[in-house]
Order: sequence, then C-alpha cells, then structure tokens
Amino acid sequence: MKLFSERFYRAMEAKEQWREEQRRLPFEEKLRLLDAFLAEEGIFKDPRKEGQEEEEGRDAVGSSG
Amino acid sequence: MQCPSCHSSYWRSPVRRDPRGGLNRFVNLFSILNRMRDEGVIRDWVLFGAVAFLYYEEWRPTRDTDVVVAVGAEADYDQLVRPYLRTFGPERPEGVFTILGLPLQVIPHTDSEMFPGMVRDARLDTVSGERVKIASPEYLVVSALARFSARDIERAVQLLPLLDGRKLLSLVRRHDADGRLRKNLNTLRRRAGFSL
Repeated sequence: MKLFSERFYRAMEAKEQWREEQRRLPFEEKLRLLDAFLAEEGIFKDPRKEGQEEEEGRDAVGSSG
Repeated sequence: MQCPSCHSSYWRSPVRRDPRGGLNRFVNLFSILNRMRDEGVIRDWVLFGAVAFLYYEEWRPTRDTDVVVAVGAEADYDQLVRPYLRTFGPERPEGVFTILGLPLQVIPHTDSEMFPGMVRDARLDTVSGERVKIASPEYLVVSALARFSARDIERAVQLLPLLDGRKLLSLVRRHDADGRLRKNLNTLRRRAGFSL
C-alpha cells in the first residue's frame, strides 16, 4: 500500500490551487470577506450602547447596595 | 446619524456600498484616514500587520487592523490624532480606537525607527476609489523577524517569493542594533531553505 492514496494527493493539489486562487483575489474582495467575517464574529458593536450597558451594570450594582 | 449596518451613532462617513450591496467598513475606514491626511491631522498613513499581509497573501480571518500614521511632530499623536479618532468611538486600550465598530490599532510613526522608511516606501493602491498605502513585503518581514512568533515565521515564509532580497538585507543591517534580526533571519533561512 502506498503511503498516501491518489485521492489524497488530488485533494492536496486542489487545496493548494484554492490557496493560490485566494491569494490572487483582489484586495477589495479580501477586505469584503474580512468585513463579513468580523460581522459574523460580532466585532462591530455600537460603542455607545456598550458604554450604556456598562453604566447600567454599574447602576444595578449601586442600587443593590 | 446612525450607521445603517452596525447602528453606531458615531458613524459619520458618507455611505459607501460595494457593488454587491454590502457595506465595506474598510473602504469607509480608508476614507476617514484619507480625510485626516487631507485635513492635516496626519501627514500620511500606511496599513501594517495582518491586514497588510492580506494584500500579498491568501485571505484568512484576522481581528487585528493596524495602521501606522505619520505625524508632523511627536506631540501631534496625543494632541490631534487621538482626540480626532475618539470622536468615532472609545479608545481602549490605549491606541486602539473603535471606528465604524472596527477595532483599529493606530501607531504613530515615531514608535519605531523603521516606520518613517516604511511609510515612504509603501505600496500605493486604490480600493473603491480610496487611496491606500500598504507596507512593503520587506518591512513586513523585518517586523516579523523582530517578533518571531510561530505566526510571524509562517507569514515571513509566505512573503519570501515577493521579496527584494537586497532591500531586506539592507533593512536588517540598518535596524539591527542588537543582532536579533540577523539571527532570526538566519534561522528563517535554515528552516525555509532559501538564500537572498
């Protein structure tokens, strides 16, 4: 038996090809993908809302004491 | 005015939609940085770090967006740049601003003896009509040699085919006060099996 099958080598080659295609994407397209990734990750938060939540949290702590 | 996408009240840039209908925050970010340059808040700016690396290599996710800004005087960073960027959102931790909901690390060019040259020699490109400067591969590799984490090594190896070897060696000689850059470059040469 071979160390790796022909199918395995084909899969590796396809992956390399995919990486090369990704490398050749226009910068704008790469940024669009990154934008979508960050949106999915919930990176884009409203900083004002975030501040309000912190204040509300502090108020809640204050009122309980 | 609220951003139609992230609903941030700090959003104040003109809406720029990409042809597929999505709002690309990066293009708007470049617009803000170019406006800062036009208004004299900064002299210039250049993409650095993971997003600069994206320019040359395959797309991969990152949460880090780093920009080096060239300022007129060292005090300008505290007196002009930081107050300007704080109008978009909070600064936390120090030097990380929230622009259009995007965490952006803004580094003054005075933070490294290498940065003035990096800004000067950066690649110039246009994204959706916005002027963008990107750190050249040689400067990205020098910064990778300085930190030399596993990720830095991987990135440096990927940039090798794009390098101007003489330019890289010249940068290493110029900025290698403690011999670390040369030592790490030799390690990289052995590991990746390349010569300059």
